[in-house]
Amino acid sequence: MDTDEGFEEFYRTSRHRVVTVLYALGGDPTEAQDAAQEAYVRAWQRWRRISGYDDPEAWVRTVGYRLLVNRWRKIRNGIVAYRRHGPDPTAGPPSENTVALVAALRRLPAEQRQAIVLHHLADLSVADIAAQTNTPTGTVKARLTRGRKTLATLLDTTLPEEVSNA
Amino acid sequence: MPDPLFADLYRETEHLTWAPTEQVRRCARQRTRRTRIVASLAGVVAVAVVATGAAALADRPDGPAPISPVTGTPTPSSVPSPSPTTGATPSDAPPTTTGEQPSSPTIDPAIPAAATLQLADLPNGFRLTGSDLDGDWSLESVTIYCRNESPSITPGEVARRGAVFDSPTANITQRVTRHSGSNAATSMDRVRKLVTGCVPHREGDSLSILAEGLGGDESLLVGSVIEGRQNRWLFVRQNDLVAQVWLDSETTPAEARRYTQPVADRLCAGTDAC
Repeated sequence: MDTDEGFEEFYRTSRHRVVTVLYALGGDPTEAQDAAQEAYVRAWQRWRRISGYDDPEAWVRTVGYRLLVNRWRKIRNGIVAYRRHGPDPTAGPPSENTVALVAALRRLPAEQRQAIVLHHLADLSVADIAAQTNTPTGTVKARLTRGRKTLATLLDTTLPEEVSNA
Repeated sequence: MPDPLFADLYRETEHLTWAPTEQVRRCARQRTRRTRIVASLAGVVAVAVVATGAAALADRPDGPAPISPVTGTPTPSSVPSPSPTTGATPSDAPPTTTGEQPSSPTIDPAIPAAATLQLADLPNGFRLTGSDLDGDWSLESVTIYCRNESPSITPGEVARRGAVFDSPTANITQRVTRHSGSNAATSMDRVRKLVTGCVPHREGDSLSILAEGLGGDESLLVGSVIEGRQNRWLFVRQNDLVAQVWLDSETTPAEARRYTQPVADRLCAGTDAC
Protein backbone atom coordinates (compact mmCIF):
# COMPACT_ATOMS: atom_id res chain seq x y z
CA MET A 1 0.00 0.00 0.00
CA ASP A 2 1.39 3.38 -0.93
CA THR A 3 1.03 6.32 1.37
CA ASP A 4 1.92 9.06 -1.04
CA GLU A 5 -1.15 11.18 -0.62
CA GLY A 6 -0.44 14.60 -2.01
CA PHE A 7 2.71 13.56 -3.83
CA GLU A 8 1.20 13.71 -7.28
CA GLU A 9 -0.02 17.26 -6.83
CA PHE A 10 3.24 18.29 -5.21
CA TYR A 11 5.20 16.82 -8.11
CA ARG A 12 2.97 18.46 -10.68
CA THR A 13 2.86 21.89 -9.11
CA SER A 14 6.41 22.31 -7.84
CA ARG A 15 8.61 20.78 -10.55
CA HIS A 16 8.65 23.81 -12.83
CA ARG A 17 9.96 26.04 -10.06
CA VAL A 18 12.46 23.43 -8.93
CA VAL A 19 13.91 22.77 -12.36
CA THR A 20 14.19 26.49 -13.13
CA VAL A 21 16.14 27.09 -9.96
CA LEU A 22 18.42 24.15 -10.74
CA TYR A 23 18.90 25.38 -14.29
CA ALA A 24 19.88 28.82 -13.01
CA LEU A 25 22.24 27.29 -10.45
CA GLY A 26 23.87 24.77 -12.73
CA GLY A 27 23.54 26.34 -16.15
CA ASP A 28 22.51 23.16 -17.95
CA PRO A 29 18.80 22.50 -18.50
CA THR A 30 19.27 18.77 -19.12
CA GLU A 31 21.30 18.22 -16.00
CA ALA A 32 18.83 20.35 -14.09
CA GLN A 33 15.92 18.19 -15.17
CA ASP A 34 17.80 14.99 -14.48
CA ALA A 35 18.66 16.19 -11.00
CA ALA A 36 15.13 17.41 -10.34
CA GLN A 37 13.65 14.14 -11.53
CA GLU A 38 16.01 12.17 -9.32
CA ALA A 39 15.22 14.40 -6.36
CA TYR A 40 11.51 13.64 -6.80
CA VAL A 41 12.21 9.91 -6.84
CA ARG A 42 14.04 10.31 -3.54
CA ALA A 43 11.23 12.49 -2.23
CA TRP A 44 8.70 9.77 -3.01
CA GLN A 45 10.80 7.25 -1.09
CA ARG A 46 10.60 9.52 1.97
CA TRP A 47 7.23 11.07 1.29
CA ARG A 48 5.63 10.19 4.60
CA ARG A 49 8.25 12.28 6.35
CA ILE A 50 8.78 14.99 3.78
CA SER A 51 5.08 15.66 3.29
CA GLY A 52 5.00 16.77 6.91
CA TYR A 53 7.62 19.44 6.36
CA ASP A 54 6.62 23.08 6.16
CA ASP A 55 8.24 23.34 2.75
CA PRO A 56 8.73 19.99 0.99
CA GLU A 57 9.81 21.87 -2.12
CA ALA A 58 12.85 23.18 -0.25
CA TRP A 59 13.85 19.58 0.42
CA VAL A 60 13.61 18.64 -3.25
CA ARG A 61 15.44 21.78 -4.30
CA THR A 62 18.23 21.11 -1.81
CA VAL A 63 18.63 17.50 -2.86
CA GLY A 64 18.57 18.50 -6.52
CA TYR A 65 21.20 21.15 -5.92
CA ARG A 66 23.46 18.71 -4.11
CA LEU A 67 23.14 16.31 -6.99
CA LEU A 68 24.21 19.05 -9.35
CA VAL A 69 27.08 20.17 -7.15
CA ASN A 70 28.37 16.64 -6.88
CA ARG A 71 28.15 16.34 -10.64
CA TRP A 72 26.07 13.29 -10.14
CA ARG A 73 26.23 11.76 -13.55
CA LYS A 74 24.28 8.59 -13.36
CA ILE A 75 20.71 9.78 -13.49
CA ARG A 76 20.33 8.56 -16.97
CA ASN A 77 18.24 5.58 -17.74
CA GLY A 78 15.45 5.04 -15.32
CA ILE A 79 13.52 8.24 -15.62
CA VAL A 80 15.26 10.21 -18.31
CA ALA A 81 18.10 9.23 -20.56
CA TYR A 82 19.23 12.50 -22.03
CA ARG A 83 22.90 12.33 -21.18
CA ARG A 84 24.09 10.70 -24.36
CA HIS A 85 21.37 11.88 -26.59
CA GLY A 86 21.20 15.60 -26.03
CA PRO A 87 18.18 17.49 -24.84
CA ASP A 88 14.63 16.90 -25.96
CA PRO A 89 14.64 17.58 -29.71
CA THR A 90 11.32 19.38 -29.42
CA ALA A 91 12.83 21.97 -27.09
CA GLY A 92 13.90 25.14 -28.82
CA PRO A 93 17.18 26.89 -28.19
CA PRO A 94 17.38 29.20 -25.19
CA SER A 95 16.79 32.89 -25.76
CA GLU A 96 19.65 35.38 -25.88
CA ASN A 97 18.59 36.73 -22.51
CA THR A 98 18.70 33.30 -20.95
CA VAL A 99 22.09 32.50 -22.44
CA ALA A 100 23.49 35.78 -21.13
CA LEU A 101 21.93 35.34 -17.71
CA VAL A 102 23.14 31.76 -17.32
CA ALA A 103 26.63 32.75 -18.44
CA ALA A 104 26.69 35.63 -15.98
CA LEU A 105 25.43 33.45 -13.14
CA ARG A 106 28.15 30.94 -13.82
CA ARG A 107 30.74 33.64 -13.30
CA LEU A 108 29.51 34.27 -9.78
CA PRO A 109 31.00 32.34 -6.87
CA ALA A 110 28.68 29.43 -6.03
CA GLU A 111 27.47 30.92 -2.75
CA GLN A 112 26.57 34.24 -4.36
CA ARG A 113 24.86 32.48 -7.24
CA GLN A 114 22.83 30.40 -4.82
CA ALA A 115 21.77 33.45 -2.82
CA ILE A 116 20.82 35.39 -5.94
CA VAL A 117 18.84 32.53 -7.47
CA LEU A 118 17.00 31.64 -4.29
CA HIS A 119 16.13 35.27 -3.65
CA HIS A 120 15.33 36.61 -7.09
CA LEU A 121 14.06 33.45 -8.77
CA ALA A 122 12.69 31.24 -6.00
CA ASP A 123 11.44 34.34 -4.19
CA LEU A 124 12.82 33.30 -0.82
CA SER A 125 13.40 35.85 1.89
CA VAL A 126 16.85 36.44 3.32
CA ALA A 127 15.76 34.64 6.47
CA ASP A 128 14.56 31.62 4.48
CA ILE A 129 17.79 31.45 2.50
CA ALA A 130 19.75 31.68 5.73
CA ALA A 131 17.76 28.83 7.23
CA GLN A 132 17.90 26.62 4.14
CA THR A 133 21.60 27.11 3.51
CA ASN A 134 22.57 27.12 7.17
CA THR A 135 24.20 30.51 6.78
CA PRO A 136 23.95 33.63 8.97
CA THR A 137 21.56 36.24 7.59
CA GLY A 138 24.32 38.84 7.48
CA THR A 139 26.35 36.56 5.22
CA VAL A 140 23.36 35.99 2.95
CA LYS A 141 22.83 39.75 2.66
CA ALA A 142 26.49 40.30 1.85
CA ARG A 143 26.38 37.59 -0.82
CA LEU A 144 23.28 39.14 -2.34
CA THR A 145 24.86 42.58 -2.44
CA ARG A 146 28.06 41.32 -4.06
CA GLY A 147 26.20 39.06 -6.44
CA ARG A 148 23.85 41.84 -7.56
CA LYS A 149 26.78 44.16 -8.15
CA THR A 150 28.63 41.63 -10.29
CA LEU A 151 25.51 40.66 -12.25
CA ALA A 152 24.67 44.29 -12.87
CA THR A 153 28.09 44.80 -14.39
CA LEU A 154 28.01 41.62 -16.45
CA LEU A 155 24.48 42.13 -17.77
CA ASP A 156 24.46 45.89 -17.87
CA THR A 157 21.28 45.94 -15.85
CA THR A 158 20.16 46.28 -12.27
CA LEU A 159 18.52 43.92 -9.85
CA PRO A 160 16.18 45.32 -7.21
CA GLU A 161 17.68 45.53 -3.76
CA GLU A 162 14.61 43.95 -2.24
CA VAL A 163 11.87 41.78 -3.61
CA SER A 164 8.41 41.17 -2.27
CA ASN A 165 9.12 38.98 0.72
CA ALA A 166 12.74 39.86 1.45
CA MET B 1 6.78 35.20 -9.46
CA PRO B 2 10.46 35.47 -10.27
CA ASP B 3 12.25 38.74 -10.78
CA PRO B 4 11.79 39.99 -14.39
CA LEU B 5 15.43 39.28 -15.09
CA PHE B 6 14.65 35.58 -14.71
CA ALA B 7 11.37 35.65 -16.63
CA ASP B 8 12.79 34.25 -19.88
CA LEU B 9 14.53 31.44 -18.11
CA TYR B 10 11.36 30.61 -16.22
CA ARG B 11 9.35 30.54 -19.44
CA GLU B 12 11.80 28.28 -21.18
CA THR B 13 11.44 25.57 -18.58
CA GLU B 14 7.68 25.71 -18.67
CA HIS B 15 7.06 23.02 -21.27
CA LEU B 16 9.56 20.35 -20.34
CA THR B 17 8.39 16.78 -20.62
CA TRP B 18 8.30 15.10 -17.25
CA ALA B 19 8.05 11.46 -16.32
CA PRO B 20 4.51 10.59 -15.25
CA THR B 21 3.98 10.31 -11.51
CA GLU B 22 3.46 6.57 -11.82
CA GLN B 23 6.87 6.22 -13.36
CA VAL B 24 8.45 8.14 -10.48
CA ARG B 25 6.66 5.82 -8.07
CA ARG B 26 7.79 2.69 -9.90
CA CYS B 27 11.38 3.84 -10.00
CA ALA B 28 11.35 4.71 -6.31
CA ARG B 29 9.69 1.44 -5.33
CA GLN B 30 12.12 -0.58 -7.36
CA ARG B 31 15.11 1.21 -5.89
CA THR B 32 13.82 0.70 -2.38
CA ARG B 33 13.33 -2.97 -3.08
CA ARG B 34 16.89 -3.35 -4.35
CA THR B 35 18.24 -1.50 -1.34
CA ARG B 36 16.39 -3.83 0.98
CA ILE B 37 17.64 -6.92 -0.80
CA VAL B 38 21.25 -5.76 -0.57
CA ALA B 39 20.83 -4.76 3.06
CA SER B 40 19.22 -8.05 4.05
CA LEU B 41 21.83 -10.13 2.23
CA ALA B 42 24.62 -8.14 3.85
CA GLY B 43 22.98 -8.92 7.18
CA VAL B 44 22.78 -12.61 6.37
CA VAL B 45 26.48 -12.68 5.53
CA ALA B 46 27.42 -10.79 8.68
CA VAL B 47 25.36 -13.14 10.84
CA ALA B 48 26.79 -16.18 9.07
CA VAL B 49 30.34 -14.99 9.61
CA VAL B 50 29.72 -14.24 13.26
CA ALA B 51 28.12 -17.66 13.67
CA THR B 52 31.05 -19.34 11.92
CA GLY B 53 33.52 -17.53 14.13
CA ALA B 54 31.59 -18.39 17.27
CA ALA B 55 31.38 -22.06 16.29
CA ALA B 56 35.10 -22.18 15.62
CA LEU B 57 35.84 -20.65 18.99
CA ALA B 58 33.49 -23.07 20.69
CA ASP B 59 35.60 -25.91 19.30
CA ARG B 60 38.69 -24.33 20.83
CA PRO B 61 38.04 -23.76 24.51
CA ASP B 62 41.59 -22.61 25.03
CA GLY B 63 41.65 -20.47 21.94
CA PRO B 64 42.52 -16.81 21.88
CA ALA B 65 40.05 -14.09 22.66
CA PRO B 66 37.60 -13.54 19.83
CA ILE B 67 38.46 -10.99 17.22
CA SER B 68 35.82 -9.00 15.42
CA PRO B 69 34.93 -10.89 12.28
CA VAL B 70 36.08 -9.47 9.01
CA THR B 71 33.17 -9.40 6.68
CA GLY B 72 34.94 -7.44 4.07
CA THR B 73 33.69 -4.12 2.94
CA PRO B 74 31.26 -4.58 0.10
CA THR B 75 32.05 -1.23 -1.38
CA PRO B 76 30.52 1.00 -2.23
CA SER B 77 26.93 0.54 -1.24
CA SER B 78 24.34 1.19 -3.86
CA VAL B 79 22.06 2.69 -1.28
CA PRO B 80 21.10 6.15 -2.44
CA SER B 81 22.52 8.82 -0.20
CA PRO B 82 19.47 10.60 1.04
CA SER B 83 19.96 14.19 1.88
CA PRO B 84 19.20 16.25 3.72
CA THR B 85 17.21 13.67 5.66
CA THR B 86 17.60 9.94 5.99
CA GLY B 87 15.59 6.98 7.11
CA ALA B 88 13.19 6.36 4.31
CA THR B 89 10.39 4.00 5.08
CA PRO B 90 8.44 3.59 1.88
CA SER B 91 5.58 1.27 2.14
CA ASP B 92 6.07 -1.12 -0.75
CA ALA B 93 5.84 -4.84 -0.28
CA PRO B 94 8.88 -6.65 1.06
CA PRO B 95 11.10 -8.19 -1.59
CA THR B 96 10.85 -11.80 -2.53
CA THR B 97 13.98 -13.84 -3.05
CA THR B 98 12.41 -17.13 -3.91
CA GLY B 99 14.56 -19.46 -5.93
CA GLU B 100 17.82 -18.04 -4.72
CA GLN B 101 20.36 -20.19 -3.03
CA PRO B 102 21.05 -19.13 0.52
CA SER B 103 24.24 -17.18 0.95
CA SER B 104 26.99 -19.37 2.22
CA PRO B 105 29.32 -17.87 4.80
CA THR B 106 32.24 -16.11 3.21
CA ILE B 107 35.10 -14.92 5.31
CA ASP B 108 36.22 -12.10 3.06
CA PRO B 109 33.90 -11.49 0.14
CA ALA B 110 35.25 -8.01 -0.57
CA ILE B 111 36.04 -7.34 -4.20
CA PRO B 112 39.45 -5.80 -4.81
CA ALA B 113 39.79 -2.68 -6.92
CA ALA B 114 42.01 -4.66 -9.26
CA ALA B 115 38.97 -6.72 -10.28
CA THR B 116 37.39 -3.74 -12.04
CA LEU B 117 38.38 -2.16 -15.33
CA GLN B 118 41.52 -0.04 -15.23
CA LEU B 119 42.34 3.07 -17.23
CA ALA B 120 44.74 1.06 -19.35
CA ASP B 121 41.77 -0.97 -20.61
CA LEU B 122 39.92 2.06 -21.94
CA PRO B 123 40.40 4.41 -24.86
CA ASN B 124 42.42 7.55 -24.29
CA GLY B 125 40.69 10.41 -22.59
CA PHE B 126 38.95 8.49 -19.82
CA ARG B 127 39.67 9.09 -16.17
CA LEU B 128 38.47 7.28 -13.09
CA THR B 129 35.95 9.55 -11.43
CA GLY B 130 34.71 7.40 -8.59
CA SER B 131 33.08 4.24 -7.41
CA ASP B 132 29.60 5.52 -6.65
CA LEU B 133 27.03 3.19 -8.16
CA ASP B 134 24.08 5.29 -7.17
CA GLY B 135 21.75 6.29 -9.95
CA ASP B 136 19.65 4.90 -12.73
CA TRP B 137 22.35 3.64 -15.01
CA SER B 138 21.86 -0.10 -14.58
CA LEU B 139 19.81 -2.63 -16.50
CA GLU B 140 17.59 -3.01 -13.45
CA SER B 141 16.63 0.64 -13.65
CA VAL B 142 14.95 0.25 -17.02
CA THR B 143 12.71 -2.55 -15.79
CA ILE B 144 10.29 0.14 -14.67
CA TYR B 145 9.39 0.26 -18.34
CA CYS B 146 8.31 -3.39 -18.26
CA ARG B 147 4.75 -4.30 -17.37
CA ASN B 148 5.73 -7.49 -15.64
CA GLU B 149 7.66 -8.03 -12.43
CA SER B 150 11.35 -8.50 -13.21
CA PRO B 151 13.51 -10.99 -11.33
CA SER B 152 16.37 -9.77 -9.18
CA ILE B 153 19.60 -10.16 -11.11
CA THR B 154 21.78 -10.15 -8.01
CA PRO B 155 20.74 -13.37 -6.25
CA GLY B 156 22.99 -14.36 -3.36
CA GLU B 157 24.98 -11.15 -3.63
CA VAL B 158 27.60 -10.90 -0.91
CA ALA B 159 29.71 -7.96 -2.08
CA ARG B 160 29.88 -5.31 -4.73
CA ARG B 161 32.29 -2.72 -6.03
CA GLY B 162 31.89 0.07 -8.52
CA ALA B 163 34.08 1.97 -10.91
CA VAL B 164 33.03 5.02 -12.88
CA PHE B 165 35.03 6.38 -15.78
CA ASP B 166 34.35 9.63 -17.58
CA SER B 167 35.73 11.15 -20.71
CA PRO B 168 34.68 14.50 -22.16
CA THR B 169 32.12 12.73 -24.31
CA ALA B 170 31.36 9.39 -22.72
CA ASN B 171 30.94 7.47 -19.51
CA ILE B 172 31.53 3.88 -18.53
CA THR B 173 30.11 2.56 -15.29
CA GLN B 174 30.97 -0.87 -13.97
CA ARG B 175 29.49 -2.84 -11.11
CA VAL B 176 31.09 -6.06 -9.98
CA THR B 177 29.10 -8.31 -7.68
CA ARG B 178 30.17 -11.46 -5.89
CA HIS B 179 27.58 -14.19 -5.48
CA SER B 180 27.36 -17.12 -3.10
CA GLY B 181 27.36 -20.71 -4.33
CA SER B 182 26.29 -20.95 -7.95
CA ASN B 183 24.27 -17.74 -7.79
CA ALA B 184 26.60 -15.96 -10.22
CA ALA B 185 25.44 -18.32 -12.96
CA THR B 186 21.87 -17.86 -11.75
CA SER B 187 22.41 -14.13 -12.03
CA MET B 188 23.28 -14.45 -15.72
CA ASP B 189 20.22 -16.65 -16.25
CA ARG B 190 18.12 -13.98 -14.57
CA VAL B 191 19.53 -11.33 -16.89
CA ARG B 192 18.41 -13.41 -19.85
CA LYS B 193 15.03 -13.94 -18.24
CA LEU B 194 14.64 -10.27 -17.42
CA VAL B 195 15.46 -9.23 -20.97
CA THR B 196 13.41 -11.83 -22.81
CA GLY B 197 10.51 -11.63 -20.39
CA CYS B 198 10.10 -7.87 -20.40
CA VAL B 199 6.75 -6.75 -21.76
CA PRO B 200 7.19 -3.03 -22.35
CA HIS B 201 4.53 -0.57 -21.29
CA ARG B 202 5.07 1.48 -24.40
CA GLU B 203 4.88 0.35 -27.97
CA GLY B 204 8.30 0.68 -29.56
CA ASP B 205 10.25 0.14 -26.33
CA SER B 206 12.31 -3.03 -26.17
CA LEU B 207 14.97 -5.00 -24.35
CA SER B 208 17.05 -7.49 -26.27
CA ILE B 209 20.12 -9.67 -26.08
CA LEU B 210 22.43 -8.47 -28.83
CA ALA B 211 25.26 -10.96 -28.37
CA GLU B 212 26.41 -13.84 -26.19
CA GLY B 213 29.65 -15.74 -25.65
CA LEU B 214 31.93 -12.75 -26.01
CA GLY B 215 34.36 -13.96 -23.34
CA GLY B 216 34.77 -14.97 -19.70
CA ASP B 217 32.78 -17.91 -18.34
CA GLU B 218 29.64 -16.27 -19.72
CA SER B 219 28.86 -12.93 -21.27
CA LEU B 220 25.92 -11.02 -22.71
CA LEU B 221 25.46 -7.75 -24.48
CA VAL B 222 22.06 -6.30 -23.68
CA GLY B 223 20.44 -3.44 -25.55
CA SER B 224 17.41 -1.35 -24.79
CA VAL B 225 15.34 1.16 -26.67
CA ILE B 226 13.29 3.23 -24.27
CA GLU B 227 11.34 6.20 -25.52
CA GLY B 228 13.50 6.19 -28.62
CA ARG B 229 16.78 6.18 -26.71
CA GLN B 230 19.26 3.32 -26.72
CA ASN B 231 21.39 1.88 -23.96
CA ARG B 232 23.89 -0.96 -23.81
CA TRP B 233 25.06 -3.15 -20.96
CA LEU B 234 27.75 -5.78 -21.05
CA PHE B 235 27.49 -8.62 -18.54
CA VAL B 236 30.51 -10.82 -17.92
CA ARG B 237 30.75 -13.68 -15.44
CA GLN B 238 33.96 -15.12 -14.17
CA ASN B 239 33.38 -17.84 -11.56
CA ASP B 240 31.47 -16.21 -8.68
CA LEU B 241 31.85 -12.65 -9.97
CA VAL B 242 29.52 -10.86 -12.35
CA ALA B 243 30.36 -7.54 -13.97
CA GLN B 244 27.70 -5.26 -15.37
CA VAL B 245 29.22 -2.53 -17.54
CA TRP B 246 27.19 0.37 -18.87
CA LEU B 247 28.66 1.21 -22.23
CA ASP B 248 28.11 3.72 -24.95
CA SER B 249 24.60 3.55 -26.34
CA GLU B 250 25.82 2.68 -29.84
CA THR B 251 28.12 -0.16 -28.79
CA THR B 252 28.11 -2.99 -31.32
CA PRO B 253 28.76 -6.66 -30.50
CA ALA B 254 32.23 -6.34 -32.06
CA GLU B 255 33.05 -3.38 -29.83
CA ALA B 256 31.60 -5.15 -26.83
CA ARG B 257 33.87 -8.11 -27.51
CA ARG B 258 36.87 -5.80 -27.20
CA TYR B 259 35.70 -4.75 -23.74
CA THR B 260 34.82 -8.26 -22.64
CA GLN B 261 38.40 -9.53 -22.56
CA PRO B 262 39.77 -6.90 -20.17
CA VAL B 263 36.63 -7.11 -18.03
CA ALA B 264 37.03 -10.89 -17.74
CA ASP B 265 40.77 -10.68 -17.16
CA ARG B 266 40.36 -8.10 -14.41
CA LEU B 267 37.67 -10.16 -12.71
CA CYS B 268 40.31 -12.86 -12.26
CA ALA B 269 41.98 -10.57 -9.70
CA GLY B 270 38.95 -11.15 -7.49
CA THR B 271 38.40 -14.85 -7.87
CA ASP B 272 40.59 -17.93 -7.58
CA ALA B 273 39.08 -19.83 -10.45
CA CYS B 274 40.97 -18.27 -13.38
